[in-house]
Amino acid sequence: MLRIQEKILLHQIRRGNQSAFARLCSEYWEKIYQFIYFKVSHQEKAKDLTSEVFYKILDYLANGGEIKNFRSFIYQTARNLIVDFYREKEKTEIPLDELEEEIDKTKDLNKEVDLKLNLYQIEEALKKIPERYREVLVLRFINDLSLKEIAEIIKESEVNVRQIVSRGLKLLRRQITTDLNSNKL
Amino acid sequence: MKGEKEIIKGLKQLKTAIKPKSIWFKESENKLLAYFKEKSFSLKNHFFVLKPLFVISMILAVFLFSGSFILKAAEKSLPGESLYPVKKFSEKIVLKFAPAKKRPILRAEIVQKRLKEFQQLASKGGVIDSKISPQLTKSIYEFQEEFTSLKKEIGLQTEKSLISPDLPIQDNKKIVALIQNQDLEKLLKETKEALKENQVELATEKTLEVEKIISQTEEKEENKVQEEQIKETKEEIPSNSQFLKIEPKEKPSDFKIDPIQETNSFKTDLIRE
Repeated sequence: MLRIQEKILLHQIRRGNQSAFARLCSEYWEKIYQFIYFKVSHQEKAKDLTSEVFYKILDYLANGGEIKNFRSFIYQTARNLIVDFYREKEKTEIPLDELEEEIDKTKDLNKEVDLKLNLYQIEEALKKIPERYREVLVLRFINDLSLKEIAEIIKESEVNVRQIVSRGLKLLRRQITTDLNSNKL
Repeated sequence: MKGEKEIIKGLKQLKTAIKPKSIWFKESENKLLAYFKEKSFSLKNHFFVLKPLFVISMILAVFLFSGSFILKAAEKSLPGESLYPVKKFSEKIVLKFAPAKKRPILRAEIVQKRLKEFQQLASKGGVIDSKISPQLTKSIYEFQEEFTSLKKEIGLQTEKSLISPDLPIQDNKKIVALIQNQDLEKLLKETKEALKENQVELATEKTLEVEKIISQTEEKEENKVQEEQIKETKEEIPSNSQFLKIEPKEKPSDFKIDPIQETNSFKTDLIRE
């Protein structure tokens, strides 16, 4: 959906147009669900949080809030809700410095592992890599966002996002290899 | 990298695999719409949301209206006039967005336009006392450019290289002759018709005939110039036959060839060699 289309829909929503809101929901519902699911790794929680995202947006619009970039706004809303969820659950992230070492180790793993991957393996591996990388990989390859859009959502430069994608893929690959090897053992 | 490609492929496939159930989506949507009804959306910010869209649409409307007005006025402009660049720019835009098949036809039309401009300028006094106006010079240049582009376009379709002689820009008389040549206009028209019928080979032939006319015009004018020069030369020299007769020079009576000296110099020359 083009930005101008989104603007028109938002304008219609403000005028009380239900079908415009329904249209926007159907456009983003699945994407937000997938985004949240890979963050929280829990179906029911992902559903709850997805609904909450849309309620929050409705409240914001009803109170006269302005949205310049809807796509960026909805993902940021989702992220904020997930942060709140994590705060409640007291989850921690692996610091980036440690991750650098991990990434270097992947250079030793130059074997051409015949990765006849099934989706379950990828999903499980994706849940195990650090959230920062997971988030970007989900936004990029599952939600089909451009590097620029991702950069706007996570408040990073495009260059950094590109690096995160690259490192994320390496980490995911390493995780898949590790999982496969541990399964063989 | 092979592994990473697989992973990316797998991630994309997850998109279809990890989907919420449609029942849940419908239920949630109904609840949301019910919540939507409860909310009273104020129209306070209506204008501020609409304003950018309103402004953009007004600018577009003004641009389109004035743009079309300007374009119409520009259509009649001639080289050297202020709206002429607008005319050329609009031609470029049309060409850029035209499908590949239509481009040669459009180019042929443009060449015809250039020729008409050329003729209009000439009739308006582009050539006065053998002096060509800067406007007409520009028009000739434009015609040449467009004709070259047309040849390239046709050449691309036939994969033939079409030789391009330079137009006689310098010589005023040649230019006048070119303008007055009715065959040129006719051939350009035939080129365009051939392109419309998708007869590219025929169009190529016509283009080559145009070039022939140009080079023949050049030749004719050169011959004319030479004839005029000869005529002028003859007029300068009086017709008195005395001056035309070649009187034999008097032989120098004391001139003798010394055979020895001659031979010696020859020998010296041989040594030198």
